[in-house]
Amino acid sequence: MPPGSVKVREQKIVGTSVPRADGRDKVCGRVRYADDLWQPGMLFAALATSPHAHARIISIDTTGARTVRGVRGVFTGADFPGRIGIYLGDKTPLAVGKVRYFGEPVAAVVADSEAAAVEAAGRIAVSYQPLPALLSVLEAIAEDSPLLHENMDDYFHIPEIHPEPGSNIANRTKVRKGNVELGFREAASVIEGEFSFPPGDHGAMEPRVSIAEIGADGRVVIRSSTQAPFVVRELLSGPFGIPIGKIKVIAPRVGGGFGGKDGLQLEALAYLLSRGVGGRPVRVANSREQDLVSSPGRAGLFARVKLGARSDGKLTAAKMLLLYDSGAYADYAVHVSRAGGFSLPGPYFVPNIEADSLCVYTNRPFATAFRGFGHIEMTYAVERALDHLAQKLEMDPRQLRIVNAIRAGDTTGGNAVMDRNTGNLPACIDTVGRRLDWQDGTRIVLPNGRIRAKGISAFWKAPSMPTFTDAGAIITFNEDASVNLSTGIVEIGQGTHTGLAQIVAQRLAVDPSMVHVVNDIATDQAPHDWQTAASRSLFMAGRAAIAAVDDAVAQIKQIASGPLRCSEEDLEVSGGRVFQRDDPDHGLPLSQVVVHYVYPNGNAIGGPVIGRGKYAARGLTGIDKETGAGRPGLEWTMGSQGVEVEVDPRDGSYRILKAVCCMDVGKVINPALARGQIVGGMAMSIGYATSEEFRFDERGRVLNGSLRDYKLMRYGDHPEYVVDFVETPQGDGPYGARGLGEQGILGIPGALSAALSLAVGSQIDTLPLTPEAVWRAASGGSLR
Amino acid sequence: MRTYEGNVTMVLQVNGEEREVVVRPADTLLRVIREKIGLRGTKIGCENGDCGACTVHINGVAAKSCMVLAVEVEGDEITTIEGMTNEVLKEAFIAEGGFQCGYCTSGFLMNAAALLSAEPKPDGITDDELRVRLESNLCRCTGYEGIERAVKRAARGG
Amino acid sequence: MESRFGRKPEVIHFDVVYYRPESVAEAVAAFEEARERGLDPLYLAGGTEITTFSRQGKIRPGALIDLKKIPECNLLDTRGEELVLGAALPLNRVIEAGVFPLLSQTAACIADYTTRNRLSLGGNIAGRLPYREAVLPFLACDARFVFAGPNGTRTVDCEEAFAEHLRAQAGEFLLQILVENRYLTSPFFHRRRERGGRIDYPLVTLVLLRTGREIRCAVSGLCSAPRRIGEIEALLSDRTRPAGERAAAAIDAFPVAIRSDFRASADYRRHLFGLALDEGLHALEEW
Repeated sequence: MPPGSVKVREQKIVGTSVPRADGRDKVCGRVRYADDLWQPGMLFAALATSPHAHARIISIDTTGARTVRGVRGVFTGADFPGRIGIYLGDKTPLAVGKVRYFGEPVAAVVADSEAAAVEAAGRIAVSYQPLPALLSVLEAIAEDSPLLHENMDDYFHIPEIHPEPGSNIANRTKVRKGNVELGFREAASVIEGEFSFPPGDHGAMEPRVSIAEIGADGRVVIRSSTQAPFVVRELLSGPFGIPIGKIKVIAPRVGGGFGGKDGLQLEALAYLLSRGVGGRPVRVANSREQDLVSSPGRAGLFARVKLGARSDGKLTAAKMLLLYDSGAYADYAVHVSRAGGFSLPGPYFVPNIEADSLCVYTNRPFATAFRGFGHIEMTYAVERALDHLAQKLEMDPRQLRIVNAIRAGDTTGGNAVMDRNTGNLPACIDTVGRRLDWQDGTRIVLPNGRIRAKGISAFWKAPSMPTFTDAGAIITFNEDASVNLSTGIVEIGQGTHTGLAQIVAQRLAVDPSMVHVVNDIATDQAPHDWQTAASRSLFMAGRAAIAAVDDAVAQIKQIASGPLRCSEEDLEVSGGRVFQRDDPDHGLPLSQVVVHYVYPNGNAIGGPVIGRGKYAARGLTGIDKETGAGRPGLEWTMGSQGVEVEVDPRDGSYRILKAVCCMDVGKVINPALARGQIVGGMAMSIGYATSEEFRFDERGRVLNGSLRDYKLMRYGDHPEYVVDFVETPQGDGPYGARGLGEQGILGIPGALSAALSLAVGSQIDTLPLTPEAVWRAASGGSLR
Repeated sequence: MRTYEGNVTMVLQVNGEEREVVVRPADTLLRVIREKIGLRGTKIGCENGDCGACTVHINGVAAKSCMVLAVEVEGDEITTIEGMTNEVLKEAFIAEGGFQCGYCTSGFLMNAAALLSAEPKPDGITDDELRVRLESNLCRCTGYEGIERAVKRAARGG
Repeated sequence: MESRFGRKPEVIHFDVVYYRPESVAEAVAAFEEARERGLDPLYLAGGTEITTFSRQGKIRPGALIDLKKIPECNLLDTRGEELVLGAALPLNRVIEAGVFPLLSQTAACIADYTTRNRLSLGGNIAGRLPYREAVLPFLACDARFVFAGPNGTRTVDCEEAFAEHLRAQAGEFLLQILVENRYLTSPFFHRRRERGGRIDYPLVTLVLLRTGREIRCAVSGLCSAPRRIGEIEALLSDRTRPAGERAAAAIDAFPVAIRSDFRASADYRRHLFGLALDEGLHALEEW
């Protein structure tokens, strides 16, 4: 028996914490991110941005800027009047006619040096006529509200979203199921509440950057900090009339995405500026302040929720209004509001639902995709409402969630039946409860006057993506039979390249070190892939990679069957060899087969083995405009989270002692990386639950647009993280796996609000939960 | 007294090498390291002293290179991630999941390396000490869990 | 305001002339030369604020005079009855020297550790931010400030040297700060409160120092500039009244408008100040 072969075959690769493939380069500072890829002859761009949240542009004088030495071009909105947008074409790369948010790019300078560009941008004189700024979604949806986008009628939009011209509503997604009036009549208890939080930012450590150049033949090359190289290509091709095959987008590894590098970011402006200076390479790079304010962030929320339940806690009806504060432009937020709508009412079975989920324009910095994609908002509203209901029912909030947890056979808000792949939510909730010692009490007053309190929540999320989302994989072999895996998945820190290498290694029964994943994605080399978003990369590219291995194995068997003089059916590929199943000694090392096989007399057969794999989402549909009915979610990953806090009610200060998560992920491919994703999501949600928010003055100007003032969680404020998994296999997932990259962010804010509310004896329904907010609740509410 | 005006040629000691560079006196050390010397492992995160992604050593002491002018450190020993030799620390970051996207990693490593080299800690480092040092840097991916484990592991010797 | 609401560029885009004097006389001469050339010079020590403010466009100095190589600016020594602290000392050197525990504790809360490796004592005090907490211990112990300038050095009482901001005259820079030894061991209390995480500007920083029967009080974060609150010190020192009562009375008698901004409301700042005062007065009772 060939050494290693059987051993490798039995070896579990999937399910183990294989070290990250990119580890060594990252700890040596050797990874090249987009801003490390400066090109010869590159010029530098700098932007002039709006000091107003809403104003008419009267005039722009660029003469001062043009006198600065080294300036090669000065551009304003008039130079690039075309509107772009992924789902709703509502935005020009530079403002035309008016500015709609503080920090909106108004003009751009291209110069030989960054210093010259910045100096020149500072000399652009823009004359504004300030307009009243709409700063709240409630104001914005009022009947007589001024319009931010008067010409919404003219805007292109995809059929899946439903803008309402003549209003500030960029999308309305409706969910209608059963009969809510009847449902509320059946209810023993009904609660109503309003829940909200302000907009915020991704805060990826790498600010966005794009470098564009145009060849003499019109070929456009863009190097960019992007999660979505194929989407960038598509969104540039149409509006600017460039044949899609003549656009090459290169996505090196990304310094954190979290949704902020989905879709089209700085790439369009970089392309236009390069075009404006004759195709020379132009770098557009955000300063941190621009990355926070000028580029899009996370939507804000206002929600109104009414829930009814029987006395045993069973929900009978839900009526909800979700208002997503999209800021000045819709970008991804139209779809974010749609996803929040179709995932209502969260991972619970509710027979009667009437809900509207709206994407609303305001004069705030605009919103795009953000880890959780609409579910952060939806989950916060639902989980807070459930806690209000539990209080009214005098029921254990953990039990209330278990009673209502969605199970196989139940229907979603969109009336889709949950299949046998449905995760085990009650087990997750139960585990979180045990990890928090729930049974020992949820509110304990300590001798020093501080209060320990616990809160729990549940969540779910499926990928929010087009029904036709695809992934491809190509494997080729090197002379030593090591494998090159090429996919369209960008490594943004999530570790998917390592997970994919594990899947290939498992399927081919070789050591993971024999699998090399192509790191930097180029759209003219990688197989097509939708984008690295929606927690679907490992699922879909994993399926494609398995198919690619199977394709390669079939080719290997076919080639080897000649020299081994046996039928392909008798052959097996494992441990770096192809051999006869019933006589493993009779075989060949793959290195003799995968490039070509050479007979002793010099004759050759075969040629390079190229494994092809592909996958397209299965069985997805759109949703009905009037009822939300449909099956938009590929696979629902659900789970539960909880926290324990220690609060000082005298001043509202608190510490999160423990943050717990249990998620049904189907199958854990790499435990360390999976835990890392979940812990990272929890940390990010602790950030926006406790501290992160944009603050505005009365005119809509952002007051805290730097990392000095916009506070991300730092080392030492992190709690003890507890992460558990439940593995109810996803039948169609690779090795049974479901996506898990986003879900860790969803449940903490609700759980934290619950714990702090319990501690101070007053419901807190607004984020962020600053000590001041907790102190106010403690002094305002009646302490139990 | 030295005076620098306009574009000036000066020598910086970087990772044990003498590097002759032409700088403007207003150029920060961060920009000179990346753009003039070509060492791109030191990262731009905020250029405001908030994130620590640009942390280097100046004479063995951690500093945020976005808040230092290159002309200020003439004659000082500069060490960047490319010249940092604490292999135990690097391996600990890999073993303990001290990073995901890797963008903050150079800065965290330089910060932790200064801590570990300055004070050998046979009994490990206290949580308070670790906090005081590591709260200088931001990481958006890990929730700090892996970083904590990694630095503690390195402090124990790997 | 332009910078706060305007562009935030990526680099320091304007040119400066950089001087690195090695003596006080050279520094003063450099400043004079730059001023005559119309360069709008600034003295620089740690540079943390000058570099970041310059990038943001909040300041636009045409010349920088680096004080780090001047020996007198780096002094950390006891001379007779006084501790001498050079203004260019990085905060971490002052903190780790540990000669003035109140100062160590106060300075250890400024910025973050890595930044404090460069951020200087004088730079913090002379800066433009409203916080400048390093000055609080000096305000509380009537330190004396030594300025160097075209007319030589002058030593000035704290009250005159720092009122809302450092009162340096044209061409002068802060050379040293002198603290009487007897204050180094005085009982003190320091409490700093932030909006959330520790690495942030303070909502309130309270410094109390007891000397004999007298309790002195200085605050930062609470109002537009760091200051000694002499107006309430008699109240605080009146040990015929219980600590809690004194704290409450002191808040009522607080003489300056309390700051309200995006970090916190004036109400909350006042509340935190009250808690800190109460705690501090109790702590000083038990010292």
